[in-house]
Amino acid sequence: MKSVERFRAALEGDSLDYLPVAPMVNVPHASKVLGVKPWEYVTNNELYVKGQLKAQRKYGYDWIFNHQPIQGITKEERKSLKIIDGYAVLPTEWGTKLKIPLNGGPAVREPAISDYSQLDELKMPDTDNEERWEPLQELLKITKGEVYICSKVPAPFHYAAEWIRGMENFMLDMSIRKNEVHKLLNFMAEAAIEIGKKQIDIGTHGIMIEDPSAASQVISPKHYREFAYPYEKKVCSALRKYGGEVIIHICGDTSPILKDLAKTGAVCLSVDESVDLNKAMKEVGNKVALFGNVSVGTLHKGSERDVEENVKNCINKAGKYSYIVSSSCGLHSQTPFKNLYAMVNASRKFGKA
Amino acid sequence: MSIKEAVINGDIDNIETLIRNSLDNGLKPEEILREMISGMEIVGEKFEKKEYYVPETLLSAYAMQRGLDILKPLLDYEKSEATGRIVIGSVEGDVHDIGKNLVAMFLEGAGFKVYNIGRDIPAIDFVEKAKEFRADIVGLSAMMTTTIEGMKRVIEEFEKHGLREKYAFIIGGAAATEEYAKELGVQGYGSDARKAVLLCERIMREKK
Repeated sequence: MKSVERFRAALEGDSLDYLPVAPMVNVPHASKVLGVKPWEYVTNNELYVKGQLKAQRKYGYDWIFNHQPIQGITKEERKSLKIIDGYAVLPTEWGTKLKIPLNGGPAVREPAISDYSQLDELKMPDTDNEERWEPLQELLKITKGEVYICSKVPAPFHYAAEWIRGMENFMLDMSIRKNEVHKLLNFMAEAAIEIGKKQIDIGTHGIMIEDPSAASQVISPKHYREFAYPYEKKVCSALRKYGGEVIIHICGDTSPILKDLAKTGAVCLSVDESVDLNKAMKEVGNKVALFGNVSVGTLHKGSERDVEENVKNCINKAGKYSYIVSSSCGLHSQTPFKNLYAMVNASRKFGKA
Repeated sequence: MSIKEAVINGDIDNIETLIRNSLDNGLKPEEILREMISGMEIVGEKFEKKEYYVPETLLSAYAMQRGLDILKPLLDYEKSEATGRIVIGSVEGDVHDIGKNLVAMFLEGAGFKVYNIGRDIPAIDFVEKAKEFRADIVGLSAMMTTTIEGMKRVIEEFEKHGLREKYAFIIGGAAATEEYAKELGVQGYGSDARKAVLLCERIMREKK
């Protein structure tokens, strides 16, 4: 089976040759594989594509995580990039300023709005700008459609909180400015749908929604159902109707909201290591495929043997259908190469049908 | 509604009026502070029991902060003896600071003098602020697996300046763990704001 077929079969619960393996290789690890600084990788479309391809070929896993939330960087954005004391500040289309440090992934330096009166000034992302889609087009072209490419769209809740309003304000707003919060979330869902549709038009195989701020250590299941779920669902249903497959990732222990997540319309849920894979399979395995669960801590600090054991355990718990072996979250920057090889090898060894 | 309840419920709209009325009725600022602290203790317990999450806890902490703003000048807060002095910040690259701010507010509620130096703080700034503030404890926060290594760089910076032994260090945040605290060789890890307060109190007791 080709990677793309293997990945799809797992999503659909069909029979497989091996379980697919798809570690969440993003900024820190991909830039390390390529040997460039994280900010160079993030702000240069060519390096970004090279980094993702190089990592996929190096380890031989089954997907490429097209993880940039704003997709390709435009020439205009590159021009406004500022390098200060060894880190980079990148203004984005919405007005959010990102800081990309020497080591590690980008983080929001300044959210887009300081007041909800500015909400009306927020514009839908310009999906007609071809430069945005260069990385996805390149990845599809070079892999000839053989590797499953999963492209990220901004999760409404997380991006509203972190990029647009600022986390602390947003968390307070949920109690004292509900109407404005819902207005912003609606806007974010529309934006995610526009971006996702464009990605589907171009040919992405899957769509990833990462919604870490909606984690159950952060907000209550009640708040999740009020503020995160309806918008995840809105995006999933719209993109599903458009022919897309959505995977949702939320960090931490999502057990209290797992059944809700399974109703969003996502075809697959990416679960952190604190979720019991066996229980999760029993609870939602008839509705969705599961993804993840291999400890990023073990991948970072454990031996190759530890990694192998961890993968084996995950497969034992999840079974050999409807499961994609992956890291529980984004990889630590210092994750040793040998441990990722061990992860891929163990998946082939224990995930053989 | 009592002041304690206002803190528990995060009633940021009414807490100031409640406090002013209580002061007018002759209640001492120290008594009001004690009420607020006992309210915050309940908030901490609710957080531990998963009755409260970040939004609810944050709202209570804000209510507490508004109360403290009124009480501080009356309490002669700056001159009063502190339980301990702590510098706290999120390490470089990490812009998440809700949890760290909550810890800072809980510590302040427990009588610590807290210098919250913010988020995305370079290692050298921790050293300088700890010296300047005459800290007993330095608190480091990281939320992401991609930024946690920044903690190590902070500890190394203190070593470089020969100040590693001068301060106690505590770590927290979603990416931090007990094991990582051991690996760094620091005094402790707190999994939530209430545990961080207990940890700091223990450190100060052992110091004395």
